[in-house]
Amino acid sequence: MDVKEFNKKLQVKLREASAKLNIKLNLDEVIPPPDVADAVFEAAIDFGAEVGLYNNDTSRVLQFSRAELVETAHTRKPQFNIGEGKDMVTIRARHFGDKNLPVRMPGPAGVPITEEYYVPLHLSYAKLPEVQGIVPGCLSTARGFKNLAATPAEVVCAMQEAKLLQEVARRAGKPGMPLGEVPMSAMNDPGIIASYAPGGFRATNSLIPIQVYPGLKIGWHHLNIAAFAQEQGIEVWGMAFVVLGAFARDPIETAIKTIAGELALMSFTNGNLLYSATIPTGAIKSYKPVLPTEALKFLAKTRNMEICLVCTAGAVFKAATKASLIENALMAFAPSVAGAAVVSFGESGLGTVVNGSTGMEGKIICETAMAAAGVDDREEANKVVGNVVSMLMQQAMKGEKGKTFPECYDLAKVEPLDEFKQLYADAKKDLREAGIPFKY
Amino acid sequence: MSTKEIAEAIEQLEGTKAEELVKKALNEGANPWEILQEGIVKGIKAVGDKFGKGEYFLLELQEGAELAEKLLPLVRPKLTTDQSKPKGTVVMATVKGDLHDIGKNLVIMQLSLNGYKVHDMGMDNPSMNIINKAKEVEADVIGLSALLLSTIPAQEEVIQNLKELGLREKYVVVVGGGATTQKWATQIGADGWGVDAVQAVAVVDRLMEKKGAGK
Ligand code: B12
Repeated sequence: MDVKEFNKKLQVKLREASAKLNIKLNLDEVIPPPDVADAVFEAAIDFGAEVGLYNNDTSRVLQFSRAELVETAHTRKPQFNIGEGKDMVTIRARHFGDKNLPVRMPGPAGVPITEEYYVPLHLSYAKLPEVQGIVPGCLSTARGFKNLAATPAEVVCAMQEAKLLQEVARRAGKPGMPLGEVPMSAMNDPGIIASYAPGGFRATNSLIPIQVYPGLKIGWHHLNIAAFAQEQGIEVWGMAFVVLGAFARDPIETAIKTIAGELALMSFTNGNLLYSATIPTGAIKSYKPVLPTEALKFLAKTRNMEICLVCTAGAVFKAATKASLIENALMAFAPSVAGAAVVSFGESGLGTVVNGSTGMEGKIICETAMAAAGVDDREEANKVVGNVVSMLMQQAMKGEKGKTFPECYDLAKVEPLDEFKQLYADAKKDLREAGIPFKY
Repeated sequence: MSTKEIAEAIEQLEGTKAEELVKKALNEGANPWEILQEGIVKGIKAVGDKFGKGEYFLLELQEGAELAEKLLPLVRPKLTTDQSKPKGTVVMATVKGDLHDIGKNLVIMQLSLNGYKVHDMGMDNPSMNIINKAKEVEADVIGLSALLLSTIPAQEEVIQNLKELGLREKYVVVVGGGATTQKWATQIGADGWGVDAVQAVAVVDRLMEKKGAGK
């Protein structure tokens, strides 16, 4: 099938699926009513069975039957262990209002990091008492060589990332802690697979990413990594990317399409974990459609499956600003209430600033997710989200400049400078006043 | 019969109506150049603007581009050869190692809607393949998209290779994508940079004009 034809079918069917639901989502209410979430989940199964996934490399469509997708939805592991020895954690499916704490695996996900700061920057996350595992940034140089995609430098960087992250784990006193979404420094199959060579990542301490491209596309890359992961017994850190405002127009369409993509992904990877983010594009940049989209995606899945979901939080604002801390907390709160099993990321500057994220962003999302556990009143949760959004809008007006990791940390001790500690305390105080029920 | 109606029908993506209006206008002896510029091009621009404002989405952009493909052959035979030429030929590619293409696809849609003939090379393209494609299709512009810090050097590599092959002056090179900035574009010697798809068109328009003037 020609890709243009597939894109058209996808969008037409998506609009039909959404029209059939005939739901008008109230965007002021971030966590939606349960019946909306259930209807969206059902629509996603139908839509997924109708449209399938497009393989860019073969120009063919991978079609899944409705029965296959339903079977996938009901046969995921409700819990599994990851990590080694005393640092092993049990990731458990959670639900709305769940009192169990989510697992905390923050990190500077995808942030470009220079070799010099790679260990201390990750250590700033890993050493925190709340933290049980981490996700890494991209190593932008190794042994002085620049990380160039699809060259031997990428292979070297990926292997080096594996070594350095395990050193971080040891230095944090958590040598067996799980490492999520690895490797991050390799974009292509040779580098990804090389990072699992002896001395590198192991099936017991890592999760490997496989992400369906936006527009429900995959390629040989996905199938290569899925084959490798299954042979080696590596758990998949899976995702179906949807860019809000491109193929999907609004939260309902985005949720239907994402869930369809995720079920298809888990059908061919046999994975048990999904991570999630809503990426806005074009004219849509505000929190208004992004937050309800995320909450809807979580609620639809946690109500209709026993599934381990990862919430990823991050900020547009730069590191060492109050706005970034508030924004990170905002992004972590609603999905954690809606049943996220793991909270992850916690970063600044859209994840694109070199050395531009710190453990403090990780800390705020961990504390927020832990505070969200047990919140079981939808209206109350939505009120808190509203308060935090207004707070963020006010803070945004202040035009804080932001810093990079070496500018706001004592590098020898890997501790935030006093000024940054104070900023954190202020942000947490404000967030508590806005209604986030921090336990300590 | 006004060209305004044609533009409006296209803006509303009313394909059959737009086609009938164009045919009718031609039968009535309207100036084909005016039908093209004031009707079709304006209508398509309006589709692009609506996308920019978030009123239209990819499906509408795709339908707009398809509608343009359908309408152009109706007026083209009536135009002088010079008038019927596309504004320019563009080769657009995501560079080697990079698997991000959403942004690039948006840029392609906007360029097509604005009268450029665009060859989409997809993602993960070795530098020399891009250059060879540009030679093959006699491109005016090479557009390079990259979103990773580890792939933006490939934009520089294309420019270096063009220089070594003595082809640098032959093409306008524009770069873009999440990891790039105007500063980076200047540093590697690109001709232009665009923050988004709408700006990409403005930049290419400006550079094509300059290129034309230099000829
Ligand atoms: C979607 C996405 C993916 C998808 C891409 C699917 C696809 N088919 O495109 C997938 C899942 C494959 C992916 C994978 C990875 N990604 Co990614 N991804 C993103 C994400 C979330 C959105 C990108 C996007 O589409 N934005 C929307 C579009 C519309 O914006 P845009 O591309 O910038 O394009 C606009 C302009 O830049 C401009 N433009 C674009 N091209 C051009 C060209 C010209 C000539 C001009 C003039 C203008 C122009 O116009 C466009 C329209 O307005 C970004 C984060 C972010 N918020 O940007 C990370 C991000 C780019 N990814 C990142 C990373 C690290 C990765 C991975 C390494 C993660 C991993 N370990 O798997 C892999 C690498 C894969 C590879 N080999 O490339 C990092 C990059 C960090 C860095 N700077 O180096 C980012 C910033 C996120 C992060 N911090 O984690 N990713």
